[in-house]
Amino acid sequence: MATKEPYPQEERPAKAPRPPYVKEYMEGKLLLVTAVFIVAFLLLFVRLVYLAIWKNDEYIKNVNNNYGYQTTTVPAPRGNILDRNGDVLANSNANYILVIEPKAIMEQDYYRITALMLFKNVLGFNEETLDERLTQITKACEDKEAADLLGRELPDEAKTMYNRRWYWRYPEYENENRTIIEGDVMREVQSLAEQLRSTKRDDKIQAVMKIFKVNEEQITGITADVDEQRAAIKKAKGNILTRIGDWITGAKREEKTIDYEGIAKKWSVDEQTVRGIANLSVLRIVGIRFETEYERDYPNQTLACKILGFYSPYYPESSMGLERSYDAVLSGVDGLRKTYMTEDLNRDATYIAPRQGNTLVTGIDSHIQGIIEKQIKQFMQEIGAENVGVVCINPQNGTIVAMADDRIYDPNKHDDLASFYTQERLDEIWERVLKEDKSMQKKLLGATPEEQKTLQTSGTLNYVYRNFCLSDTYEPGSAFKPLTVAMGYELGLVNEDTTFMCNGFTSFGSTKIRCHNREGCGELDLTGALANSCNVSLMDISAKIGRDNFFDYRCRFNIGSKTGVDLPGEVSAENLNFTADQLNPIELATSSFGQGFNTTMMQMAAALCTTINGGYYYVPHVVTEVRSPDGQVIDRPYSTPVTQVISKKTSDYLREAMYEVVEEGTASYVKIAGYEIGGKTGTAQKGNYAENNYVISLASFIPVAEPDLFLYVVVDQPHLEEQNSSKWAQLLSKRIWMEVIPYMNLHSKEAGIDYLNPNESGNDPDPPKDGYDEDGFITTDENGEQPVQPDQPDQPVSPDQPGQPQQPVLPDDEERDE
Amino acid sequence: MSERQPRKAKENIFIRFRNRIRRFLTQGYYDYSLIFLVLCLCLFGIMMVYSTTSYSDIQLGRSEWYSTLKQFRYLIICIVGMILLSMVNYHLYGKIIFIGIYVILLGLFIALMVKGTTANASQRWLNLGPFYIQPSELAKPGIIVMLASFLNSKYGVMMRKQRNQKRAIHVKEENKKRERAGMPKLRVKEEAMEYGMLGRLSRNNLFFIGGFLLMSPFLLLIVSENLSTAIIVFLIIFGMFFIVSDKKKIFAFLVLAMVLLILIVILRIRETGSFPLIKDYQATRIKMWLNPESDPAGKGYQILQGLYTIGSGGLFGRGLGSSVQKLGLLPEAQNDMVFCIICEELGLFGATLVLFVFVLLLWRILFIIRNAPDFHGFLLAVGIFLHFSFQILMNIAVTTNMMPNTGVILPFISNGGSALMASMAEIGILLNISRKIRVKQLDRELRAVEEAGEENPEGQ
Repeated sequence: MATKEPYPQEERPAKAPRPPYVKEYMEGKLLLVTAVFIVAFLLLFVRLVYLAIWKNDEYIKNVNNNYGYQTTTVPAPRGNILDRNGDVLANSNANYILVIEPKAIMEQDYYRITALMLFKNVLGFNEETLDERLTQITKACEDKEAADLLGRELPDEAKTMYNRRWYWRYPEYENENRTIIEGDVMREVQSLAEQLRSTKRDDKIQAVMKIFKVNEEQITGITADVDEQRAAIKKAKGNILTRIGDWITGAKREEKTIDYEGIAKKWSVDEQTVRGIANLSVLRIVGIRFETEYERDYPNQTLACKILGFYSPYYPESSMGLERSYDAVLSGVDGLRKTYMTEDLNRDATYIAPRQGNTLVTGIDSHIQGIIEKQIKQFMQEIGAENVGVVCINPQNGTIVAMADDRIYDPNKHDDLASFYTQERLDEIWERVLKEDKSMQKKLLGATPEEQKTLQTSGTLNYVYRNFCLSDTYEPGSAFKPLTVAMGYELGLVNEDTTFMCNGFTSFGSTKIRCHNREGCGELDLTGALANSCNVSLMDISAKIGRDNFFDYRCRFNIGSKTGVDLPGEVSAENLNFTADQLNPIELATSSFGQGFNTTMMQMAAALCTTINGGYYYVPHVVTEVRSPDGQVIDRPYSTPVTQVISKKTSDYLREAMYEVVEEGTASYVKIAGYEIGGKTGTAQKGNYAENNYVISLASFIPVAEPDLFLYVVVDQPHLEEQNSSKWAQLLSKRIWMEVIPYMNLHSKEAGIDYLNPNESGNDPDPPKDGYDEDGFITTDENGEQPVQPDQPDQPVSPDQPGQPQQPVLPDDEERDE
Repeated sequence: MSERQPRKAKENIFIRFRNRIRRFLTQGYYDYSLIFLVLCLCLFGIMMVYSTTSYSDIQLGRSEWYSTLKQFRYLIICIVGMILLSMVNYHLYGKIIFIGIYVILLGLFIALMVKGTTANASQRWLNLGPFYIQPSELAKPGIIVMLASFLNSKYGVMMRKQRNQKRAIHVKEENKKRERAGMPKLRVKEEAMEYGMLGRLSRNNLFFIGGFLLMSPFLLLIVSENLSTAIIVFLIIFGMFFIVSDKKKIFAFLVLAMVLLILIVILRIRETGSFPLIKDYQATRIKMWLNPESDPAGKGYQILQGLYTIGSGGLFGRGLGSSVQKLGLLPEAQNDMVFCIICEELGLFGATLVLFVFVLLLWRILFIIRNAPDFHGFLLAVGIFLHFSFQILMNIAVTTNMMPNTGVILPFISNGGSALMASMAEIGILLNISRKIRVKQLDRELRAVEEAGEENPEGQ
């Protein structure tokens, strides 16, 4: 190592550190470069500080968002919905969906073999199509890389394949074709994966035996053979020195490979199996996983569909019923399974278990609900109506026991109406939607045919989903009368001894408001006025009550505002009610017998319950208890009354009076021998009084002494030429009571009742329906008044009967305008 | 050197080897602090390699230590190689070595090109029988050594002649005096007189052009293979010429022109999305650099994930080994993007510490530059200094999205054998240069030893 001194030693500068030939300017330039580097380092440092401190919060969030890929969400089941007997109305069933990750599977040949063997032997799939698909996707990935490099576009088909490089659901990506695996099979695959991952050879062999369908002897034999051949190959290959030597001399050694075929023949298995087992120690189940999805199940299909609604997982805001109003209570908290490794290389280091949603215990009685739905269906088949709504409430606490209308659907497949409705019926519904909703017509005008189709579907669906009892308003008619009486009685303006004189009408200036009985009911006491449903008497009472008190009590009965029932879609009908200022004498008078303003069934039912339960106003509600998944009671909503509207005395009187209505008055059709039923009928003319369309209703309760159940039936425009009789509502109620009473352990000797022959059931003097058909329809005079039905037999008192309409109150339009 | 005693008879080869080792250990300056810093970085690198590769190794069904052990084996080989190289006198990197390296590198690149045309994707790796090497990584120290040798031979000789010219003038005057005084003349080399007639550094320009021409094949070859290495090599060459040359204006003009060109390219690409001679994927990278959010799941994914990784570490990080992003989310976590993982696991604190160690390393190199015993050593050290500086700066700039994404690894820390080998070779050369540093006191002791005649210094 000779170093020639490039200069004589004595010339070397004694102190100058600069090496010879390194000029001053070089040092200057070096300094400049160094300075630039220092500035660059400082800039980078500032940037790091900015990223690590200013952007820290934001980026931590972004990184945590990445968990979506790294960790799997374990969905939580929704809470159950139970009826009051503890029967399940809605629950969540687990579905296990097979998800395949081609990229992971194709990473190693033995992963692929293991996966295909698993498909074939454990899951029972066609391995060949799967293999083909995996190869296609892998090829698409390679194509994509090549295309990127060349800056070319991939053909669409390859692009679709490429986009599935992470996972696809067998057999196809689309949701409806996914493969749902049984829970047992899923657990078996998971345990096989666990066994393969185990470090114990025995576990591995157990798993391999199942996956490859071979026996232990074959496995040990194959591994021994492969090891032997491998050792031989290694020996033949030589060490690194010989390899370098070969490389230099260019000598080529014979490439030896493992003779898989020979081994396969020897142990009578196929070649793939040998290739798999050859890598026993690294064999894994990779790229096959299961996603759990919960499907909402309503075991009773259509039962209580209007109350339960349905849950749509992808658009929770479009859920209906309890599923929507109690979404926060029902939905659980999703769990997390973080599948990354910790420092000690544990898989599944953290697992946050999903928490099931809380259970709702409702006051619904499936049996009563079933009876009511069955009877509505039967009614619709035999008579038919625009709408039928039935609400059954426990008046003692406001719990809704049953609620139904005539539009049913199956929450399990809520999009599918075809199984419940014929195409004509659906078209009819669509026409009705168009008639009611003017904005829909406008929308249709500017829409393409496809959009029109969508609009029609969604419009029809929404109409079917709508709950008549909450979302539709109507004029309550005479069923409102108990409330007016309650007001007068409570205020001390009337009592049992008060008498009224009805001569057929009351005059307000030039306007005459008639009683349904045009000849007048004569002299009546308070109970009689209610039993005969005498409008004149009620107008007298309302006149005594006066505008302010009437309005005050109407508000206290919560008519004209939402009841606050725990179901979505309730309307208030606020704009369809008179304000205190608008309650002029005529409006006050019509209001007294339930005309001129609108309510919902729920408002009426809640208010009428108040008159029979001792005067307490309860918010009508479905849910009585919220329980945690392990059965602890968390909450009892609505368990206390909101307010006492009327005194117990008033309530006691009204119960008796309404019992009289059934016994001797207008509601006699509902009378069932041997049972004390109270009730009040209602026959209200609809909107355009000239059309002669009626909403008939009956509120009834049982038993009179201490009502357990309150039933409110509303039939909107029964498909009859003669609508203005509450008979049909009464008969429907009676049919319901006939079935409910035995269920309530109140035994009855009554036989079945027939709409067409109500006489047979005992106490009904009304002629059969056929009579009406023969006699033709009831003619209406110019004033919209209906003549007295000549055939009308003499009943005890039946003002609501055909031919004796309580309407029209306002003889013609001019008068109405006043 | 002064008078010497006659040589002793040749000793046993083992004794000579022992003496040599002893001399190596006891004599001369040896920059142990540089070794310390490099070992610190390398061991930290091994740690990071384990942290970033263990997960994917297990995913691939290998031992969690697979990549770490592989890298560790490389490190051991490299440390041994570094020490051996530090014993090789850097003055040996002369003409022969120059031609050797030139031919070998050219051969490697052409082999790569030929192989690259047959394969589908661009190939950075060359399978040389038992080895896999990455020619572009080996090119960096190779070019530094070549350029240093070239500049030394041309520029050094020129300077030496300049010095002789001065001396000749001095001798002439001296001779005139002596002539007048009737004293005998001084003897002066004829050739020195001849060279003295030449103008001062008149061939400067020619020789820069020559230098670039010499290096151009590599630049072209590397550009076609990977741009990032080409940029670094170009910057090293440019920087070395800049420091050596006494010109200023021309370099200022060149830098200005380059900055302008880059600005125009960036602006054009931002507006129209393409630029002549710039490949599509490179244009995309520039677009993504300007706005990574525009394609967060595709081309901008690596940049964004890198930023998220750095940002999520905060001040003190998640703790060593507990990075989340390395678990398959951040591509190239063990190579180009390892600095992100450092930030995530050790936070701003750890990253600053790593940067500080790098700065210390560069300071040590600067120390060697300033104390280099001669021009050749100076040039080598400057080249290595430039290489490390650019590489570190570019790597961190890429990870923090301060410049478009190019595959530059972080020296000593990133996973990879060829890169480590190249870096360690350069450190070996530096160590050898540092050994030639004459420390005053040491010098005196050495001379005392020499005078005592106990041992021969390098044979003469």
